Amino acid sequence: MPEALSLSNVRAGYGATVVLEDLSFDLPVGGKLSIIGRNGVGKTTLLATIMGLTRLHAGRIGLGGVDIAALRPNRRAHAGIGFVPQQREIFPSLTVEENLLVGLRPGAWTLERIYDLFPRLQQRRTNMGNQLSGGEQQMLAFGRALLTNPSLLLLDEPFEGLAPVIVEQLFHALLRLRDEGNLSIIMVEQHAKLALAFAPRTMVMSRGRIAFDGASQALIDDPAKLDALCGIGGLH
Amino acid sequence: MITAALTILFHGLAFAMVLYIVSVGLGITMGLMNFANLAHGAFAAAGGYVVVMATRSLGLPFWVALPAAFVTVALAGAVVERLVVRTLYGADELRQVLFSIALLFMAIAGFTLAFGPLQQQPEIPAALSGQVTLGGIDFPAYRAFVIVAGVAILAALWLLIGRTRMGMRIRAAVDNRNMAEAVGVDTRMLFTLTFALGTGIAGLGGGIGADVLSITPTYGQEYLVLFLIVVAVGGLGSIFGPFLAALCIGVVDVAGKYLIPEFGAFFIYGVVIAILLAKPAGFFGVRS
Repeated sequence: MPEALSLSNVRAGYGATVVLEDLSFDLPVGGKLSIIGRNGVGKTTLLATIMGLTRLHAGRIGLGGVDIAALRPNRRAHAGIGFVPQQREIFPSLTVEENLLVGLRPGAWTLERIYDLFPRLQQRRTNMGNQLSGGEQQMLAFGRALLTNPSLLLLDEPFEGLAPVIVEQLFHALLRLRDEGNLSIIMVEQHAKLALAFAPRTMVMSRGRIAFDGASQALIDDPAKLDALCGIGGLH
Repeated sequence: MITAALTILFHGLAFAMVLYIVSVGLGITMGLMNFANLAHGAFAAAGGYVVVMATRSLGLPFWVALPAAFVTVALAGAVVERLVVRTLYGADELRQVLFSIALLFMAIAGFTLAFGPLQQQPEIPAALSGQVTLGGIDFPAYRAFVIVAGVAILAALWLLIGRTRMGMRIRAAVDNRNMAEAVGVDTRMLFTLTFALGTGIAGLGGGIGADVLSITPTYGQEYLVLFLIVVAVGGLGSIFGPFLAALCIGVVDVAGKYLIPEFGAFFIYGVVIAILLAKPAGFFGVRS
């Protein structure tokens, strides 16, 4: 069975600037992966590269066994990648419901299911995208990505800047996603506790490379190793 | 006094509607593609010439010539977008300006060669050649038609942009092109369609407005500043903003020239400066 995602010797960045150096890893179908690391080590660039929003200098990116390296972002979305960006990037000129429907593709995820997962969005369905709180925007970004009915979901720091009570709500929604169905998920997260609790496998990045790729439990059991990899105080 | 005010208002509205129909597509394409298309007026002139040729040379009815102008110019716009404009997305403004100015001058030379340097007028249907009486005052029926056409195009665009899936995608791409791509929107195809739509509407505006803004080879150059003002004051990427801007500019310009003709276009530019100082992104712009 082909991997959900496979990166081989990927070098990528913005224009001539290379951020990711010779990066390779696989994610099985239905696999969950957390990525942690200090600021500026290339975590966001990695997700943007998988989505096709950076310049790929070298390497191969496979999705379900198909090389997608040459595809534009919209073709990658059609191929099955859903993206929740770091800044949420809600469309302000669209209503909440339009934001959800703009990328809608047929599949298991429907508007009703999104409203079931995030009832708040149904209450705000006629509000414009720029009239939402940070937590609501994050729910909307989740819902918008899920309605593209992806096979692989990329989450870039989904809890950044949110109040603890909202983080808790969203994390529970994410755990539902993790435990239901066969969706492959990669989550970049600064909150190490949440990242390690979310996925059985964690990757730590350093200077555009993979510094650790293994069981999350190994880092939970060895805080000193976690600190050495991520830096004390760098993560929460 | 009331008669003068109503006359100014009527002719100001007719002028405003022509400015709106021609400019609205420019605002959408500039908002969506960040492409400063200074040749936009040439597409309007092309639409004017299509209507002139269709009604005068081919003897087609005016009501057939108008959709023909839209379709012909939209197709031409799509070809230009695919062949040339596409290569300039993301280029610096100087390259875009030089390209579109070159295209404008080439169009002027082409129109002069094909149609001569003189002003051209389409054949107006008899039903629109007379007068209509509004509030006891006679007004040219054709200009009343221009006003109705402007409002109808605003309504059609509002439905298209506000109520269709394509419109939803255009708004999303104006807001954030990368994110629109990331949810699966084919922004390249969307750009082609939007450019074709914008130039097609300009062509329609050139045809409808030939009675207000005369069709000459230099049309695109002569009225370029007015079209840019409507877009800048209305706001890039908006359909209501340019409507409001065109109303302000059209009525103020006609009033200024009617009441104090020696000031020329002083008022129009005064109003523009005041509005842009107060609202740099225009009335409804997503960005300046």
